[in-house]
Amino acid sequence: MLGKLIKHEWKSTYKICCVMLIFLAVMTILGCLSFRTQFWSEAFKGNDVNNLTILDYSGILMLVFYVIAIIGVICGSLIYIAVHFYKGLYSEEGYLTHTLPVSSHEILISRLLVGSCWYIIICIMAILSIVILVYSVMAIAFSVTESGSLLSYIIANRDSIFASIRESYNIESWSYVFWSIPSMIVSTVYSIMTILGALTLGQLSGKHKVMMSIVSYFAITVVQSLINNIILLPVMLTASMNNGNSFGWNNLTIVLNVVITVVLYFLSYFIITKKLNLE
Amino acid sequence: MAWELDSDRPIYAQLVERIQMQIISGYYPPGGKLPSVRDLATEAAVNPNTMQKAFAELERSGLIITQRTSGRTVTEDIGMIGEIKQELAKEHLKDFIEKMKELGITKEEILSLISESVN
Amino acid sequence: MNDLVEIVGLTKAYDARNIAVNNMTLTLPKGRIIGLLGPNGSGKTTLIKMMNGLLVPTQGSIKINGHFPGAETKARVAYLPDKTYLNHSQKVSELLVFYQDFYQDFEIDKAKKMLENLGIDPSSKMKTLSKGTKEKVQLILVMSRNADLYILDEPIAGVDPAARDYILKTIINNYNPEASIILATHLIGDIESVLDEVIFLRYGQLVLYNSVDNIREQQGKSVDAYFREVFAC
Repeated sequence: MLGKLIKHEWKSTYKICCVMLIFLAVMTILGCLSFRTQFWSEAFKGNDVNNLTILDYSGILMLVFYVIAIIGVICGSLIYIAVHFYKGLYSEEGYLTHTLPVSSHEILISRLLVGSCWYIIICIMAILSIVILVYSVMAIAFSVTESGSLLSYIIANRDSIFASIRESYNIESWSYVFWSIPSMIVSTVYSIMTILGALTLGQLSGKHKVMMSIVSYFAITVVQSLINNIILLPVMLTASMNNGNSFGWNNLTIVLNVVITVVLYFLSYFIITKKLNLE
Repeated sequence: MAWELDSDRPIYAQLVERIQMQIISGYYPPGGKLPSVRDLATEAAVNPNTMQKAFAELERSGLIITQRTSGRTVTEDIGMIGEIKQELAKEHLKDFIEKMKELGITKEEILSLISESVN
Repeated sequence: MNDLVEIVGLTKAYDARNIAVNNMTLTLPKGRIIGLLGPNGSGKTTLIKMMNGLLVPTQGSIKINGHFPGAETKARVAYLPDKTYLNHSQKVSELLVFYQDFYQDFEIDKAKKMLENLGIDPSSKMKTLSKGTKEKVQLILVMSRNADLYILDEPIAGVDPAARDYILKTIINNYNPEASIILATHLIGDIESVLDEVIFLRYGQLVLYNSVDNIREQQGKSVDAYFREVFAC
């Protein structure tokens, strides 16, 4: 049954999510193109630019739109996921969802899985988009001032490039990269569970369910921030005493998020099984 | 078309009357097959259990016979059907005469009125 | 075991003053079509929600086929709420597939036949259908299941008289001695002859549980008329 719920969740969300991805792709292309104006090629050479054409202005405007688009897609996907959850669980459709021959665990897990999946895809694509844009800008700057292509330069100097990245970001070893994957997964699931938990907590209110959900969402976020800062205070102190080396203790945030996710999950399960009262 | 039934009398009794009428009038001929409970209930737009109860009553009176393999049939006892027809006719007559008496019509007037309208 | 629904001391109290269902004890057998009647606020909806596991009792218990409401009973209970509860952006055909996916007892051919009979195009999206047509679709989906208990909340209220007749005939035709139907409605007169028995509720309590014919015989009037008498304002 869980598989069926997941399949159905996927089917009902993939269209909008694909539209968002296509939108992201289009904006990336437009963003890259916006750097191909005369304005930028002169600026990279270090020359003063005096006569800006319409093309130049629209290029700069495009850049602004690009930034708004990236932020919009990420926030928009979270809002879409929240609305989708609400519709399926706590609007009139809830009468169908909660009378299906499935357990409340299956109802929650299917939504958590599909929501997290889409959110992580969109975030990765957003990051990829930024990387592409940055690379594209650097390639233009490079082609204007140096000879050869940026790609061959990077390949030729890859060792020193990696070394300086490691130094400036304080990446001690491969363990940093190793931890960042589960860290990303945890924070994605945490984000989605926060939405799910907030919507479910909102159901406890009699007449102001939506308001209560929004309040809960902010409450959870604030509580997480507070606890995070409290935990990290000693960590930051040790780090400042040890040349910025925090000995991996900032992984505590991951632990905190896992704990909050689990607490919200079981709280939601309890509310759905014992305290549900659809309108 | 749903059967027209009075709303203030038990339904099953009215179903019994209605089916009885249909048998007497020959709509369901002697020895003829009757529709299933479900089909007749659907036609009449009544609860199948109520229809079942009506059938049971008609079986009790012998008007309907249930055969194990071939469902329900009307009795072949034409005498019984005739008797019931007579009884019903008498009942209608009784009602009719009482109504006439209420109107203050005499016996002779009743007879002449009847022969007038029958011709 | 002929008891389909066993309700014992069932109470749902939201707080000291708001008691929606008050110490109800009732047993419903299989093979009956039962009307659930009562004015607004009498506890009908609360009772229905508890039967469907959408609400948890404060006290007492409710069992369907010997099980407390849960995933198991939901597989054997077909519920038609009195609102449009299906996903609007889906096509009717997609909903058929959905039901078939989740409910083993769903008879898709039966549903398709009924849609055809009522002239509903399966490729249309729910949001393009009129309110009455949406209700017909929802009813068809529920009646195409081969469940032990059907709970229909106002199935004919928003539907035109011709469709009402069709719906009532479908309910009669679907009759299964192993299953029961609970019909909650205000339109008593229209459905009285289709019911075996009726339940009267008031202020969350059971006022009456008797057969239609018994009431007619004892009271000398229709259930509709008797209801008006009992619940006169």
